[in-house]
Amino acid sequence: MQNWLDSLKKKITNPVNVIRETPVDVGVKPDNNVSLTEEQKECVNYKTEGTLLVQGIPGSGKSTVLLERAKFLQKKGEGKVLVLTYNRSLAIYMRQLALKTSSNPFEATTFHQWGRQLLLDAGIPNLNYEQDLRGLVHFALNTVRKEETNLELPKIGKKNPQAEKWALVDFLQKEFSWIKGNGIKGLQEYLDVTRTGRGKQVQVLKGHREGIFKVFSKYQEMLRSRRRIDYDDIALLLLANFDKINRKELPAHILVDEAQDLSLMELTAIRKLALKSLTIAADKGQRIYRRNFTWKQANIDVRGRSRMLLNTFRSTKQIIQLARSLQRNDQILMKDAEYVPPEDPKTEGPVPELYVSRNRTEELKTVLDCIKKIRSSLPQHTIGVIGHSVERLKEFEEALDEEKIPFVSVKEDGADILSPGVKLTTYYASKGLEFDHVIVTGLKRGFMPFGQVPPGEDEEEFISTERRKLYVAMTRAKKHLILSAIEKVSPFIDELDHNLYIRKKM
Amino acid sequence: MIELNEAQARAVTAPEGHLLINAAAGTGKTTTIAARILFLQVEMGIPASSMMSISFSRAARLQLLEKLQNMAMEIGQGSPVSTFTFHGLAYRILRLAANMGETWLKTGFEVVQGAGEASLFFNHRRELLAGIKDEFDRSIAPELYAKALDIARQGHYSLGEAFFDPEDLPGEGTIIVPYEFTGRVEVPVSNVRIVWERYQRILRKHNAIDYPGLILEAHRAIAHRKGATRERIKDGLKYIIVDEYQDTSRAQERFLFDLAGNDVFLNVVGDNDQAIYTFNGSDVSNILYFPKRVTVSGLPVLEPIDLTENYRSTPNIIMLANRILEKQNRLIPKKLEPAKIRLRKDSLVNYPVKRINAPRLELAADFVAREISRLVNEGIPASEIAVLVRKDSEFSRQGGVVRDALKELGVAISSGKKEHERKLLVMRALLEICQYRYGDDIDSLIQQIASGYCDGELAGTTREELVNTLEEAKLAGAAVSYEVIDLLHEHVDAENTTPTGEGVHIQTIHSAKGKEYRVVFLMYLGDKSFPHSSRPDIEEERRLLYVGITRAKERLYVIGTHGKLFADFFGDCAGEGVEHVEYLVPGGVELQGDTFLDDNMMEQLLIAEKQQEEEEERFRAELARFFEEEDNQPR
Repeated sequence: MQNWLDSLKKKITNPVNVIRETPVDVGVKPDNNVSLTEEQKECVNYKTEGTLLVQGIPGSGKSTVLLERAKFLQKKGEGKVLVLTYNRSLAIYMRQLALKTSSNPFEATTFHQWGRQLLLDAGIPNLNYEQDLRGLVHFALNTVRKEETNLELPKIGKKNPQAEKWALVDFLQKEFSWIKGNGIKGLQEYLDVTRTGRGKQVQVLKGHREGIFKVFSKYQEMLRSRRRIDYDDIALLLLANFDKINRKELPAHILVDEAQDLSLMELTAIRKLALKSLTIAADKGQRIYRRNFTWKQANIDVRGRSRMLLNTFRSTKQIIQLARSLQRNDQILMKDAEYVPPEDPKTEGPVPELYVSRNRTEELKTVLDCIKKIRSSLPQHTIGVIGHSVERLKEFEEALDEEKIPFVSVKEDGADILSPGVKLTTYYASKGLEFDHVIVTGLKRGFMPFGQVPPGEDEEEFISTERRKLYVAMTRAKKHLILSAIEKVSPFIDELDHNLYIRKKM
Repeated sequence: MIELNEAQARAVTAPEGHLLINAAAGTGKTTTIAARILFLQVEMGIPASSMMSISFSRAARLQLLEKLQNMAMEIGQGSPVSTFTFHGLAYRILRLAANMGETWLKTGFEVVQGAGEASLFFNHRRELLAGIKDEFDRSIAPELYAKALDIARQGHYSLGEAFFDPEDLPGEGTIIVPYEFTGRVEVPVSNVRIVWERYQRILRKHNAIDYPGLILEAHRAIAHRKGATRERIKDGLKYIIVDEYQDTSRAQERFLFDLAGNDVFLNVVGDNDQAIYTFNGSDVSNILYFPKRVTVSGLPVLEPIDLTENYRSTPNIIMLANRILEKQNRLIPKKLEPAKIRLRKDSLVNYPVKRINAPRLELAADFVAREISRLVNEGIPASEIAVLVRKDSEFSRQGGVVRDALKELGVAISSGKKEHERKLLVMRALLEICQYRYGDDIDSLIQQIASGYCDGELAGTTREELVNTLEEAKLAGAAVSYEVIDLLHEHVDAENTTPTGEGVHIQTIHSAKGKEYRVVFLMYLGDKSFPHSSRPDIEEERRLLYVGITRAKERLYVIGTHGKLFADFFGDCAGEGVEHVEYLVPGGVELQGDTFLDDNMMEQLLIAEKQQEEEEERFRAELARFFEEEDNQPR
């Protein structure tokens, strides 16, 4: 018995990074300005059963670990089990998997939906999202500029003043999100903080930081006076109103998938709101939402042990090898101390295919032809079609309707992601999902990587992020990967090892 | 003659006493009420003038009155009785009380909206909330207090009772107000009390009363046992018959009980499985505990009678309705539980119920439009077809997409929204005309309008519309112009108005209460859509599903997709007598492909599949064991 357990553990701890800390201090330190009743203190000072961190590369089965753990905790029957994600499609997917495999399924939702509901239930008013954040940032910028004659702000370096203005607005919007996502409280803290993860393209001096913070304060003031919130407010409001939240509604166990997409404050809020245990699944290589923080900052200690799920079993060897040849071009990732390349999966499958079309219309036809063949040969399989924009997907939808081929739009409420057939998704919404066949479309120069480098971002960093998006998209495929490029083809195509795919013609 | 089954006959011929009739959907409720009213007149010697009946809406009232008229004609005896909506009755009481100085309202008072943009409450929000201390943002505080006030006055499960006076409110505690459809905000009762007192002063100043206030003030006006208003209203009154009793509020119950006192019998009819207005203040406990509560009158209470034999629908539709009810955690103790609907005896064609999986709302609309067009071509009149949607608003365009699709196919549509606007127009014009000719005989009024004498006062309506409405009021018991005004009072919103014109009816399930159609399309089942909202009240939503299903006589189509987040209504509909249809592409017929992957590719894919399945299976089993073992380890 002991022997068997040991061998199993050995097997598991090798590929899985399982860290259990008992007990872990989760949310023991309430904000200083919040006074707690005796009852609340009792609730806050609970001993958790530990925090589990699961790290792995795409396709390594993090979601499977999470799913099995959620099922295990649900079976233990100690209270509600909740899976949280950043994007909605993954939440629906997890919920569908729960429904499929259990008669007593756990719940799954997005962090923002869950957090907003908790706030609503706690009687916190004014929880409507501002629809035009960009407009509001612009307005705040103009207002401060009128008030302050010598306002110092970074230069983006556009030639056209109009373009410069909007580039600055976009830069500020991202910076505000960073400030709020990291819980920066005041100017001094902002001046002192080491700001990483921002590109080198925009030079931010100390005076600039003061200027940025002035506009930020105005933005916050305007948001409040409009009685609106932005996405980053949910975590901040949860932390500020922690004592008002009905603890009976809280889950005993929270499991977070794709945790690298959440901000520091979001993860901190989740930690405080999990009554018994927290399980976090995250990935470094898959970071495409461009957030940046260490686990330590969120009180998740990963000292010393940094093994990851290296064994990929979602995809075939042929798919992983091709994806790895793309990843090798990611200099930032290659330099990262924590990076470990994915190992070859055991499963072998067909060699990935590349189709090159002359234009968008031809691509549409090529993609439809691929879909038709797969559908008539393997009607029980799922086919993921990944597009770079909602508009392009709309064109696919219309063409599929025309051809009388059923499809599911992953973005829709209650979309059935599990059942056989065609699933249309953007790169972003595809995160965490998997399909038997994947057709990655729109590999055209100017679309992938997208257009031009956004203001305030380092070119290398931006290209890396775009490359990781493509990597994620490719590794959604379990068995069969088709890349569809349009002339002139994306530079990423040139980065692929051409021995690892077959160029095909319709 | 009028044919009744055994249970119906027992209800009709029941002796003198308070009586609850639990009438399941389609069990001949209106027929039974009408027959009971005539039986009381003909066999028990109670004059029509000693009876009053209360309906939920003007449409329901008209249905009952027409039935009464036809039946009376058939048996050659008996006549219709005064029939009101709750608000109409309250209005009549207050009109009398104002004349007699038994209410603070003065003659010619106005009935205003309770909350919302243009209401008296909203216009005086600053004055009402001045100095009130709470943590709400000022922009939403008026709405929260208006809602809290409504809840206090109607009664709500969170409070138990309805409150008739600010002074009756408890000194502390909170009223839970639903906010934004998903949240619950606790409003301090002590504040509600202050706001209520101020609001009363404002109403007084304007000589106005709002809809929830109507019931309260009418109750106050008849509360004095020796008051002149009470005497006028009760003058010889022996029976009050109330329909749709499951949708009454606690305030309405108390008003009714006090009006009845210890010398009027209440015969109430309803179905607790069809309570679909609890979000709006109705309290299903009224019907569940009626026999118990009504004992306060000291009068005899009869044993409740269950009507369960369905005369409306085919066996397949009834089986489905019963299956849905079985899923319900019924609130009532077992012995009060009404029996399942029993199958009708005569035979319609027993079409299977069709359950259509349309993964998108647009596909659902496409299916509905094509199928309706087919049925109309087969000879089924469009006006006998209803599309019942869960929600039809700007944000949930369930009715809208069907309307668009039907228009494209050129099928005639009848919509409730326009009729609602029209109804309001007619009501406003008639109120003006009647107020100006206060006391005129109704026949002379009809004649004046018909002859064109009032053409200057039509205010955008037609002679015909006004005459028809007056005829309706006359049938309901109005003899003089001011009584017309009482009877016109009805409180419904635009979204839930029943369409009546020619063409396919596209309407909400709420508005189809009490209606029946030869063909019903029910939609759109799925997450957030039906059950509705991101935090649905599953029990109430399921009752709504039941109401929708039981509107169908001959053919029923249930359209939607599986629910994943909350309840799976679509899945629940599967079973005996239900045929499943996959509708995944426009037109419904999928492409049959004629191109295939080559053999080599197929072979590789199938091998990969097998290996992956084994790997995953192994991984899962290992994980499960690992968690288990680790959990058992001492810490």
